[in-house]
Amino acid sequence: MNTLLHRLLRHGISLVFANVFLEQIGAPIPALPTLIVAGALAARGRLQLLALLGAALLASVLADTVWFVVGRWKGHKVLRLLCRISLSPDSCVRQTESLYERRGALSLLFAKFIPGYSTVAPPLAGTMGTSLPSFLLWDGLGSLLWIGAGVTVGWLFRNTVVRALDYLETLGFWALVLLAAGLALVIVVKYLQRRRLLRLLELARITVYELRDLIARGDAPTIVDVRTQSRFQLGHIPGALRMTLEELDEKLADLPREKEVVLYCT
Amino acid sequence: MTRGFNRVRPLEGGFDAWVNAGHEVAGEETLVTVRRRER
Repeated sequence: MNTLLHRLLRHGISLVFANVFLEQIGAPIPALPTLIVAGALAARGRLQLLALLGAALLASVLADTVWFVVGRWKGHKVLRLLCRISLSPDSCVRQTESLYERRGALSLLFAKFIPGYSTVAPPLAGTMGTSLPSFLLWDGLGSLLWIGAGVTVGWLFRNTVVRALDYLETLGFWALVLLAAGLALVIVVKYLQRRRLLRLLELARITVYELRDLIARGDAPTIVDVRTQSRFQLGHIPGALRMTLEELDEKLADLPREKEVVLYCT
Repeated sequence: MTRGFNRVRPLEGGFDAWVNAGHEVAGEETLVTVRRRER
């Protein structure tokens, strides 16, 4: 048996635990490849399946509980911070709140499969007042589904995965360099994509003062409130229409095409 | 961002920024505030 595989096997469970924990706490280190490799090794009987599932589950729920507690403690502030890091703050807060309002704690069951929602769902559960037992139940089941999916893929494609590991082994030290370079590339690409998106969004925005001036000189755009119905009823910009982004195309079809549309969220 | 001929722009800072700038708000919260002032 080769050295790389030896090391993976010796520290396999700890590596899975660390990787899953780091990803769930917010580090841009994908855990799915690790779960797939671990699944393949478990299928070959080189890692204990129950220990693997237990370690990954514990790491995931532990990291999510940290965010749950922070969400309960800091409220919406932490949600905005996370959204600013991950996506557009407007769409992120609106979509996550709306999803959580519709599905409640049940949304934690599939949260890990929705890009962006995975990081935001645990603090959102804390912010929205979900009880700790309910959070632990649904987050635990959701984590198990996500971990199970990765491990199952590895289990099914065990021969291919082990062949890839063998190939890496032939590269010796350069295999580690290759893995580190791959990880660095993922982080750089993610960072650049995020920066470009934020810059685009900032360029395209309208300030409250610009909007006020447009309204004051009788040149008001169509103002659309994309928050939840309950928030709209509590207070909204005068003249705003309440609709979801999904309804936007349909409902605005009757308006003059040259008219500008201003969207706002929380 | 555009859809057809409509230019679509998000409001910077969202509803919170509008309220914090002291601009007029419609809705139940406003009605409650006005009623309280009237009393």
